Amino acid sequence: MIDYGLLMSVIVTLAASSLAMRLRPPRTYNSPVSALDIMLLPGLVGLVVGRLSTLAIDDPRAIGQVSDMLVIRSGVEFWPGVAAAAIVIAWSGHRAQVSPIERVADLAPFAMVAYGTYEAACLFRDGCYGPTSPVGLTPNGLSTTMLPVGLLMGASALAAAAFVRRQSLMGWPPGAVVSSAVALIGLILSVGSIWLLKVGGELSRQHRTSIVVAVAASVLTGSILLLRSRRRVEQVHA
Amino acid sequence: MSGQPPEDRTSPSSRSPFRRWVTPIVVLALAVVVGIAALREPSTVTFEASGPPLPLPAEGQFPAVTQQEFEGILVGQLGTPVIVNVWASWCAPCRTEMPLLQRAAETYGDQVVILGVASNDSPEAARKFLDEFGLTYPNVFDVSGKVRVDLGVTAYPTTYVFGADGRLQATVTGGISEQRLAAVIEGALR
Repeated sequence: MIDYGLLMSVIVTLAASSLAMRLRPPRTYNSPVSALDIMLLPGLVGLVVGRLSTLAIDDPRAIGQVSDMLVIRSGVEFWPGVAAAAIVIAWSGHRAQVSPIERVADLAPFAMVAYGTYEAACLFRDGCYGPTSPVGLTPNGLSTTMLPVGLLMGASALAAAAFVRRQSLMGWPPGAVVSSAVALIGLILSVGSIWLLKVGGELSRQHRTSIVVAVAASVLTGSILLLRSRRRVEQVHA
Repeated sequence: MSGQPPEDRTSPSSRSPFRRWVTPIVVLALAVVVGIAALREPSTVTFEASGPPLPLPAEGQFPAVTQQEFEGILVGQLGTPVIVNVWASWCAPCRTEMPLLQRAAETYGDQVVILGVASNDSPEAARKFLDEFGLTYPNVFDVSGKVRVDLGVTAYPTTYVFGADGRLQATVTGGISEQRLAAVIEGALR
């Protein structure tokens, strides 16, 4: 059976990030490039690495069985996928003689737009539901309204993308742009996962990892910005 | 290292107005079609179990059941919500759900019954599939295919939610998300 929800999520994600790139073109490309050209390879590599990571942890015997590997709804490890996509983007920068970290920082807001749109597309995957609330969505077969946590996570990610883009334009160091993007997405995943309905009370692996990543990336962002301000002070004194 | 920035292949100014609109229109049309398919709810099935009550199969058993026996099992569970998951060993998305359903069975214990129904499959392949996942919740084999027909299964997997009163409350065609499963269980318990 075709997973229309997932397919729709991918279409919407690609369309939204393409639109974002058209409206606010990335700055590390000398000439306009198709958004698909930019996103396809990192996206695919991220997906494959994320899926293989999940299989390696949960079901190593399934590695090599194409039918099992293709069921990406069974799980894609988010952060290994993000890391792999970032490495591919950095490598593309290196090839184009652009600083790899600058290239990653340039594309980070677009990746955040893609993530935010994918989360918001939970409407099509039946995965938005949070606690009962006076306003929200009513799943088929239920009379209770539930808070659309997935939609809120999507909106938060889009707002975070705008913030990161702005900080990038305001001259934040590329390292701080990247780490703040990671910290914000980690924060959104950490907080959102608390409210998303789940079977059983335990934190999921992704939830635990996101908390660690959010804290580590926040510390890194703070350190980079602190170092930068110290250097500025030193330069003024010099 | 090429050292060259990517070529401009899609500069809006270099394309005709027709070509500029083709991609957005195609994407929009595709999104509409897929979106409708994704949001479509399954047609309502009227199914009400009847007949003499039967117990759930014991852990480790995987009995072949007729339509009457399946209904008997449901009747035997009146007073407890029942989640019926129709699956087949050849169905890749069914793999996604098995650990989730197992977790639900462990989490909700006696409050909710999770019942797997292997259908349109060979008993050997289905048994092997069950053993692979080490499932402890009850499963039966739809030997005649009549259970599938009566439930109106159109796709694998399909999940049916029966309330404590035995009435079919919801049908989820295709893979069920964790959020949806938690929502329907909580709804059935309310």
